[in-house]
Amino acid sequence: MREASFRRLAMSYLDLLYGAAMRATRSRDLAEDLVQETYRVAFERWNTLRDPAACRAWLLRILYNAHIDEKRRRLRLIPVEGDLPDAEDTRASADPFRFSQVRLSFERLDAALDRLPTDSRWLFVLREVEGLSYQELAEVLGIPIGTVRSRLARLRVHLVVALSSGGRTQSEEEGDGG
Amino acid sequence: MGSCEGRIEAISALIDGELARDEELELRRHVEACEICTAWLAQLEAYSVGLARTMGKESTPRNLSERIRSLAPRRRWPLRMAVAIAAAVAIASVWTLEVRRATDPFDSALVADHLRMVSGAEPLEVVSSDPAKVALALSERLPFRVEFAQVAGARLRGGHACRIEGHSAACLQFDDEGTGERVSVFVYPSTNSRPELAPRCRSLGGHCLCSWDRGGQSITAVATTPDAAQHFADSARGEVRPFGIWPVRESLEVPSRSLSHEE
Repeated sequence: MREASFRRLAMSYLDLLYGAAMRATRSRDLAEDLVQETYRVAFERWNTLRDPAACRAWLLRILYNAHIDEKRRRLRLIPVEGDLPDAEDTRASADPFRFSQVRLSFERLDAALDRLPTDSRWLFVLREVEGLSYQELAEVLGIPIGTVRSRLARLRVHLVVALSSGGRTQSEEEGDGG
Repeated sequence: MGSCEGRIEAISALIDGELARDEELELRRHVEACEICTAWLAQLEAYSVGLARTMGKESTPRNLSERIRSLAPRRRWPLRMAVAIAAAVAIASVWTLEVRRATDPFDSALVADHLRMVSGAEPLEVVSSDPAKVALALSERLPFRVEFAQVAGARLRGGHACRIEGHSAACLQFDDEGTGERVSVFVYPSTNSRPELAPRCRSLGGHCLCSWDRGGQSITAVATTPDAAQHFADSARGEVRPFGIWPVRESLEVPSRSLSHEE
């Protein structure tokens, strides 16, 4: 592949990269910086990409790593990888009938995403928005496919609970009591 | 319930179509007989459908694309001098063989129209990135039907109908992502008795023109750099898939009167 051909191919993913970065960071400025850094790295290392068909996952991996690096530099106290919040609700949700009679409220999605740790938010963006396969997710996130599968299931259960009007945390329910 | 907790992971993978066939059959058999897993499947499917309806599209800031293009690496001559010189000699040799200096008034008219469009002196009649919309709008303005597909690595801006040396033509404007320059692509009924399927490239006044014939129509890409013009020609020949498909229509409705009689 010629360098000019690579640049065209890479640029054709600009909208995808920016959309993913925006959803993962929730910040326009940071998303722009990360995408710019992604292309800086990609333009430097373009000749290490053997298979043009893998370009999308390759660019997303650079973007993901850029975000992780940025987060580690800037906010050392906040874990990049971590348990999903409200883990007790996720465990309690083993009873699906608690939520089966209620409608999921996607107005709460932004708030639910805000509370996710970085790696879970990327998992959400790359699978639920960009539709990456499990194999691609494993390549981008640098984890085994089995881990992709289990993390995704946990994330979905967590979000179903968070988006369900019957899935409020215990403290929320107590607050409504009076 | 305990035995079903582990199946949520499989149900999640089932929704994604990521289960092996035998695992899927086993899970479906279980779900049919298990109220809890049936409820989870319904819940995760509702989540999946709801998300698809909820997620909008983020629009990329215009200036970001420009900033990124400016990142394209500049060749570091001290380190790559020998390679660069060898490459330049090779390219120059090929270019000398393939590029013919054009003096054709038709080519001059194409470049003049390209410059008018690029400079903004003449606004686009149709502004859209949708090839189907632009083709339809231009077909209504021209005595032949225009049909083309999007070229990967290039962003369609729109087009206009024009006259080139008395011939009707459609002019399409693209932003080439590879070089960052604006490229004009002219489509007009072919006047060649022998279609040129291989692109013919030549230079004129600091511009590069690449022409080829396809399905009864001629296409000429006009750009400042040979690389941009050649990209469209390569796409036409399908040599750099998946970078693009160029006119796919094999039969073009050419006006009944001969082009040579047009005024």
